[in-house]
Amino acid sequence: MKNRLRVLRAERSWSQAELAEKLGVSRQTVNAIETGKYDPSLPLAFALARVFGQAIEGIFEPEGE
Amino acid sequence: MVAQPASPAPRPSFREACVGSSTPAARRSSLQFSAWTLVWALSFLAATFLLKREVVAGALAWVTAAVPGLLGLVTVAAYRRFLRSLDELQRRIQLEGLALGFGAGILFSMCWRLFERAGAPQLDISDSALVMLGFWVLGQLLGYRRYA
Repeated sequence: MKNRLRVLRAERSWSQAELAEKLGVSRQTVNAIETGKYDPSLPLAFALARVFGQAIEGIFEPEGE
Repeated sequence: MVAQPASPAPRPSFREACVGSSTPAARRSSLQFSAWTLVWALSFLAATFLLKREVVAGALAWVTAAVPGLLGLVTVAAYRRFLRSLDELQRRIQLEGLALGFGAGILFSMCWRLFERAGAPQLDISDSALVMLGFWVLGQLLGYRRYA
């Protein structure tokens, strides 16, 4: 799964640690999602969408699209 | 809002690459789990010493043997609390570590029986537990490195 997490985070000048705190997860988890090593669960994807004020499909995109 | 160029992800520290980063709640429960593990290990060593040297006998020996078991139950409960305090990725890493530890421990205990029949030295059940523990730790290290 591809995602725009890093771009969205940079737009808001948030560090990974700040985003992690907003989501209630570890920085390692934010980093793993950003780098595509880990695909979040649906609840965490919804939390990301809420934090960025976007729809889930505005953040995540299936590989190859 | 003007998009700033996306900065690359910061390199994880050595500690973070080995044991990951965690939330404050996970750090607290991790400390509690570590403390209970230490208490359990010390009680196990003390009970082994007392029983081996026959310092205690009769009913007191039974109580001495039971104490590490009861403290072990508290340690297991602390580990459960620790697991529940983790986020989903860290829980996955723990699960993968447990899978590796459990699998390696079972395989070792079953396969070693065959080696014993072939002439290898006889081991007891605590050796399998050590293999299980070692692979559990190894599994966690591999997981934290994989997702670092």
